[in-house]
Amino acid sequence: MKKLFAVGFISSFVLSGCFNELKDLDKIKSPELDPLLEFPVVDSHVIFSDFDDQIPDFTVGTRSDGTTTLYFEKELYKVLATDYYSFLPQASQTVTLTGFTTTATGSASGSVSSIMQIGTTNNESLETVELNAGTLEVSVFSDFVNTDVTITIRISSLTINAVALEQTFTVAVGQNNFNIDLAGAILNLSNGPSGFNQLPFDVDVSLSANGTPVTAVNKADVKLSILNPVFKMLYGTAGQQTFENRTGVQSINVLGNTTATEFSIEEPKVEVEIINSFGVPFNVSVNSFGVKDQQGNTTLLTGAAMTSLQPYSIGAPIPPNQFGESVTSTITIDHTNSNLKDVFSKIPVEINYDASAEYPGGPGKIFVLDASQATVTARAEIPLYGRLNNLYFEKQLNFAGDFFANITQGELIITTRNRFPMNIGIVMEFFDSGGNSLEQLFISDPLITESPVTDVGGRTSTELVKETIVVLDPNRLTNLSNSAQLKMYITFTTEQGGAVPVRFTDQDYLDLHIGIKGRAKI
Amino acid sequence: MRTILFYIVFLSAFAAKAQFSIATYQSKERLPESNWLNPAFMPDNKLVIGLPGLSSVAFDAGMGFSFNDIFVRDMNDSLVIDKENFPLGLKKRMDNSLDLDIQLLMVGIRMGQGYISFGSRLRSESRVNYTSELIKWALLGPGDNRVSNTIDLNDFQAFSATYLEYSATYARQITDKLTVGVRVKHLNGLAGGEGSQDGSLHISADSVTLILNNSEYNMSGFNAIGNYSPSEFLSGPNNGYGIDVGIDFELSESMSFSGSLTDIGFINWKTDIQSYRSENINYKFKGVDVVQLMFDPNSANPSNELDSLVTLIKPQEQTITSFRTGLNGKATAGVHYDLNLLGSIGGTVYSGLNGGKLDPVIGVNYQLKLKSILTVLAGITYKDKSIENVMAGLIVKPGPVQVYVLTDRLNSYFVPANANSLNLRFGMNIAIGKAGVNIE
Repeated sequence: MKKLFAVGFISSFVLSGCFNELKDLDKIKSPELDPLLEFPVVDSHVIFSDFDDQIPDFTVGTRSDGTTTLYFEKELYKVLATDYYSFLPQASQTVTLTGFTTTATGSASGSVSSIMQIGTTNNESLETVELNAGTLEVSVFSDFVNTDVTITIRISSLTINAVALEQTFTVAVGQNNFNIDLAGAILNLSNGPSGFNQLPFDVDVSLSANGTPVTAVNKADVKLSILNPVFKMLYGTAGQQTFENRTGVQSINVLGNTTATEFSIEEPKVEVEIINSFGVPFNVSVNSFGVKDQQGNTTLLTGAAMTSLQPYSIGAPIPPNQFGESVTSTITIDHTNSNLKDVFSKIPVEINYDASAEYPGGPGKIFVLDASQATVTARAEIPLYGRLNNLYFEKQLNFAGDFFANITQGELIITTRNRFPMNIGIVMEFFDSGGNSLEQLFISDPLITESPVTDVGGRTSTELVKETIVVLDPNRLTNLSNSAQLKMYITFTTEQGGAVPVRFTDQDYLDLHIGIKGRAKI
Repeated sequence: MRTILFYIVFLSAFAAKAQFSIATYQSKERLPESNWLNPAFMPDNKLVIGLPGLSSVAFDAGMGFSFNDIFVRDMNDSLVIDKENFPLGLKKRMDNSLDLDIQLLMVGIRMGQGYISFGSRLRSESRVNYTSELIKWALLGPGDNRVSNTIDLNDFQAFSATYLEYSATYARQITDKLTVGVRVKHLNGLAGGEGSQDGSLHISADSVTLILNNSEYNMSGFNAIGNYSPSEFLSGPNNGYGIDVGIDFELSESMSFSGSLTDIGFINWKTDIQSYRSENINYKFKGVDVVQLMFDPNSANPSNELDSLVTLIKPQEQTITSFRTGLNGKATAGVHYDLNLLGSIGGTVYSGLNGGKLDPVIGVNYQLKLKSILTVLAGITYKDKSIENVMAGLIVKPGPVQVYVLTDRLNSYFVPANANSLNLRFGMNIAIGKAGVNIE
């Protein structure tokens, strides 16, 4: 009994403790957790070479003095020989071989000489033509009945593989057509009386009657044609040839809507390179070259350098020693011989140009190869050495602010490491899905990062590190959590409000890091 | 039985540090089950029989913190999470454990200077380790300067093994002072698994960095355990082997020293294998590149970033035919001092050997022995930085039947809200004859 009592007492003691705990379970409140979280939000490392892919046709490089430089290359004009010159299909007059008489088993022969007159596209006087392809068609109509007839075509001015053309054909009664491949053929068109555009040829005929006599009225008509000719080279003299104008527009709108109270590039340079591989001297004209700014105003490039391009005569390789070569001329346009500095100070968003070319004609011999071309290429070199004051642009992005809904309080920690020689200011404005402005950050202190110290050459000496704390109070967090759009307003200003030019180098960078630290409601 | 097994395995998934009972160890010759903890311990009786299911049921569960550690009362007498003291009071590496040990059969006979026994036990040992930074991150946040913003993923480990153990034990008094014992064990694995990885997770306003290497989780038998046939339950394909060794050395007539290494062995798992592996990951997110975003609005999308990370982390199932897990090895040392009529005092130091980290449990006790009829044991244990654990035991043997109940955590039952662990062993043996005296 005592043992039973003891067991009962101990059990009651244990169970009463358990019941107390069970009673307490009802008092547990739902946990409200608000841990202090940290999270990276933005991390950007900006160097100029990153913009390489962002600007069409621009590349970012470094000039010999270390200045970061934008290079732009655009082919303003191009003339292809095959667009303007060709060797036309040709045909000779019909040569008639007649007046032969024989017995029923007799034979006869004869010969006739003629000249194929060569027609041209632009009244060229061609002396030599080399063909890549083409066919010489020999067309013969014969009424020599019961007679063996052979025709031999001899063209000493047409060589294939350095052998003068001579081919014999057996001719039947009626119409006969024979083809000779002219690939690689060289036609010397200067052996006729005129000294150009003529191809002399000879036709020999041999007759052998087989039971029917040949009479004087029997005949054979022979005609030569050059079909589907493709030239490799034309040589001779040519008349005036005007090539069509080329105009072009090139967008260089990098930053979108951009304005500035001061924007100056100190040492811009444009090299215009003209290359001519025609055996034809050209007059090349860059009729206009200008830029359009944000407001649509166009500023044309003017000055002595530009005048020299209106027109600019470029020579030609001299035949026959310079077949296949080219002549190159380069004209340098800079702030000493043009208003180029003004042109680039307009914050251009578009480049416009108009160029043309012509061959003025003349007595000199010219050549045209199938691969001949004339090009005009502009190469702009824009060293980032200059001045900015309030260069401003804005960008709107989609922004899902839901992330902020779970944050009850916190702060943004903004760290910048700036080695660009300019002040960089950012204002962020958040909008709801209806486009209503909800919140602006950094409006009171938009200068996120200040310009570091520069040396006498305008180069940055050391980076400038700045940390900014932005407190996120509940009201601001509510606004951010309702945001659907983010608009960023960014301004750049170089030293002393843009009064002193600074130089960007490949050592320059901007690191922007934004982290958030805040209590999250879980 | 299948349902019980299922629950054993299920609960094991939440658990960790290997089961032990200092009270049982200190009972030595008074309790045949002390031989499980040191095979050199021989019972006082000539013949001991542990009846199936009744002779010994032991469990040990540890969580590393108690109900009262988590909650405090606010002004309205409601219980709220103690966000300050609870997380900051946790030790770095958290060990959760759930161990069960049910003796199915045991027969032991004293033979001259020796003792031989055969036994079978159903055992389940499980542990889950994690770093307390995880709790600190949830309650205080990685931004709190009292909390590390880096989690060591090496601290995340899981182990579980449920198996049937068949053993043969032989202990012998080598000299007047020295007794040694050894037990060999054949193990039949029922369900088990192991998982671990290397790496770290760092979160700060500067960056989020995840480094994950060698992440591999293997499991066996978790689907099959409910469908084992009786023969598979008794002897299946998941074979394992183990050994226990121990000594008991009399330093003097009244003082002895003992030590043991137990559960040294392994199980080869071959049934119902599931294996998962994650790719090695070295991921760093420092923020959205807003400049790139300005030029290309699709270039950086934080949700895409998160999706790609989730894809990276997601474990991929792989095909393997077997894997091996070690047992939860244990090392124990004890000292026992006989006070003659006043009873005895003892001390025990115990530590698990797995994981390469020693986390000892220390206990001191007083034992009052009234002939062979009654043994009362009381003491304190130090575990998990707490010395408040009360050890207690009662062994009653009025005749051939011995009934006992022992615990290292008596206070857990009186004040459950303060309990960060539970420990209990109870059972009933048949113990016949006095060692050294012929049975009549």
